[in-house]
Amino acid sequence: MSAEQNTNALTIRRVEVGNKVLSWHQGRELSLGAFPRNVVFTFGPGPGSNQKFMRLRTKLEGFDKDWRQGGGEMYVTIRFYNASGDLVGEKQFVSRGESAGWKGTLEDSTFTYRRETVSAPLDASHVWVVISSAGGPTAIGIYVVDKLIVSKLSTNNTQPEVLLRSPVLDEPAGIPSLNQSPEGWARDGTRPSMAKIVEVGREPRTRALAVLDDDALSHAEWHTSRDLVAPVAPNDKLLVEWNEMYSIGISDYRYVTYETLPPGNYRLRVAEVSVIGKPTGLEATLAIRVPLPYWQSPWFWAALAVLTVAASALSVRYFTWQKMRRAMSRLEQQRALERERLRIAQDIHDDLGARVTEISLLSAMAQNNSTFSEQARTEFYRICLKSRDLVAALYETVWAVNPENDNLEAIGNYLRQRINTQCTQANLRCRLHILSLPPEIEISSRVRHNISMAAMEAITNVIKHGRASQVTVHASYVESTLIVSMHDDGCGFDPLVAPPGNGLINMKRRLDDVGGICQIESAPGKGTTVHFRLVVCPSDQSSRQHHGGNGVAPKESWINRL
Amino acid sequence: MTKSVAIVEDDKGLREQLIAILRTASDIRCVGAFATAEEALAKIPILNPDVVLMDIGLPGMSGIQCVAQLKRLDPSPQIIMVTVYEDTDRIFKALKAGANGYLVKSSPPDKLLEAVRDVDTGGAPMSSHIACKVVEHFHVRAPAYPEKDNLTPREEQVLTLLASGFLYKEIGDQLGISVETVRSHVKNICQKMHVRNRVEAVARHQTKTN
Repeated sequence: MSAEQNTNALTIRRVEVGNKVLSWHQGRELSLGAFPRNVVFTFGPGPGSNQKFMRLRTKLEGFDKDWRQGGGEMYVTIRFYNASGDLVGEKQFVSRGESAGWKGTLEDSTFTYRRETVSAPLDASHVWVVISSAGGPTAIGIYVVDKLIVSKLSTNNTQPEVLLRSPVLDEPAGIPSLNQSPEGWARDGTRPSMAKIVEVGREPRTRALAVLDDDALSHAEWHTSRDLVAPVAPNDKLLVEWNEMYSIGISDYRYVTYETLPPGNYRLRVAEVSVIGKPTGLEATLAIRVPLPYWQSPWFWAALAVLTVAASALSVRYFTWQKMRRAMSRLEQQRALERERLRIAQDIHDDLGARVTEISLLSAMAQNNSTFSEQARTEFYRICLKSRDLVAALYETVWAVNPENDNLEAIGNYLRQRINTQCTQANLRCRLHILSLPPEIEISSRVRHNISMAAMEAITNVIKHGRASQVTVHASYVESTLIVSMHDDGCGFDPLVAPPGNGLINMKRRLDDVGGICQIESAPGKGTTVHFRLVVCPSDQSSRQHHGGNGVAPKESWINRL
Repeated sequence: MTKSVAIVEDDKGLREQLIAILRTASDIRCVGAFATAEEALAKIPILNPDVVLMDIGLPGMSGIQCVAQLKRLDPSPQIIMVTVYEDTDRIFKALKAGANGYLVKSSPPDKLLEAVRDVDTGGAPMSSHIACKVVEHFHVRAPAYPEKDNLTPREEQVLTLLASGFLYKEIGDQLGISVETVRSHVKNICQKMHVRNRVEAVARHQTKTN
């Protein structure tokens, strides 16, 4: 019930940020938005409450180190007068808020020592001390001064000369009653009764001069009277020392302003205190939040990072895809072109083959024609043989360009067929030990062409020079290596003596070209054996593999054995 | 005994050459020459020749398809494939389709005549590379094939020797049999290939309809 009343009695009534009034729900955190400027909190009695507050203080927890009291001031003032009694200068030593030792009561609080200096102006002949609550009429609170000493600082470093002291108040030497004024000191101001002598501390309690201002409209002061004239000379350097304790506020503290607030969480506390700064327990609070601007918040950077990563990943993917698509379409085009080229080649060769076949048949017929002369028939026979060779050569080309033949099985078939045909025509016995070569091992047409050409070269050599009755051909694919060897039982030759003819050089060059090895073993009367070895990897089927690093190591050893 | 021969060849010049070669033999009579497979399919069953010389590469329906169709309509004519190039795959397919032998077109004329005369006793010689493919073909021993359609040990021997490059005569010497017997083995081998091919076709058809 009382809490309810209290809540109503003191409230935070309004929050403005840059002249814009914010609304909030009671008990909920209020966000001021990023970069708040000119934040004004207004507080006071709640709606429908007649409560009057003498003194309030505020503290924005998380931002303020100390309580804000609203800005009232009280002073110790040194006034200088000339010989005629006119004021020629003064120096105010201002106090605001609460002194370090202030604990809310005179009993518990402790004094703080303060030391100031002031120079006497020209014409100064004597000095006054004033203790005043005149820092604005609304200033209220308490200002206690004790053991005030004004002394003159000497230039030759000797002990300062004391000009003036605050009065001795404690009994037995001091005044008997707190209402009396000590000698040489007078109460003054618009309400002199607020200038008091107070008792401070506990056991022993000491007396001190004080101004207890609890009036919003007037002020009071203690000052030295004419009886206590302290003479000074112009340019005298005066040292002013005193002990003080104070708690100073204003009676009309109803708003507090913050020019700006950094991002963070805060709590505004508005508390009622007594005139001398002791909390009454009445307090209003408001939770405040200043959010990080979006570019400072972690989630923004996290999101940005995620977005950046995602975007770059996407763009990389997109570009890769584009590149791939371009490559694909280029490849597709290439393939289409290849197909078309193949088709044309096949058409030409089919047509050409048919025509040449026709010539071979025609010449064969003419050769058999008994009405022709013997010489003519011999010529026709030669035409017939040549055209048959031509057909074979054409087939070779068609076979070579057809990508369907880009595998080991095709090369096996081809060797079998061509060697068999060649040998049959040359009346040479041939024995083929060509194990079925794997169709799944691909080889490029270049490799295929070189291998088959080299093999045919070897057979041609046997037919032309070998004087052999039989040729034995082995072909196998073992441990990623294609091995083709051709052995004849002919005359043989000495590889060291006989300079290798074109055929042998060609074979070696063809194998060398595709990264393979060609080895020739022969001796006079012992026949000849030709070996081809070529590494063909099942994994990488590009032609580069075949004339790249593969087979380099065995090549050395094979060459050494030559 | 005169043999009747039909020619299927799309190239006019070659067709005429083949006719001319056949004319040189008194025991061979050319009863018809056709430029397309379609025409051949319409006329050959009526003509019922002893031998058909069939070009492999025909425009439209290929020679291989034509062989299969002809064999279905009337298995009696012996079909010799004639080809410009000795293309392993196509010849093998033609043999599976039912062709009884094959010949390269540029072969000497007497070889052609010989092949026509001897086709019913063994056909044109099978060369090593075709024999090799046939060996592979028979190595697939699926239960779908009846035992009688597998090769006999002797046929297997003949085929292996053929694949190794032996000539018919050499095979005869090696196995102690006559060249004629070697030929008849080859003929039977071709026959069995054809049967197998038909079994395969039926099996394919069944899997499709299932």
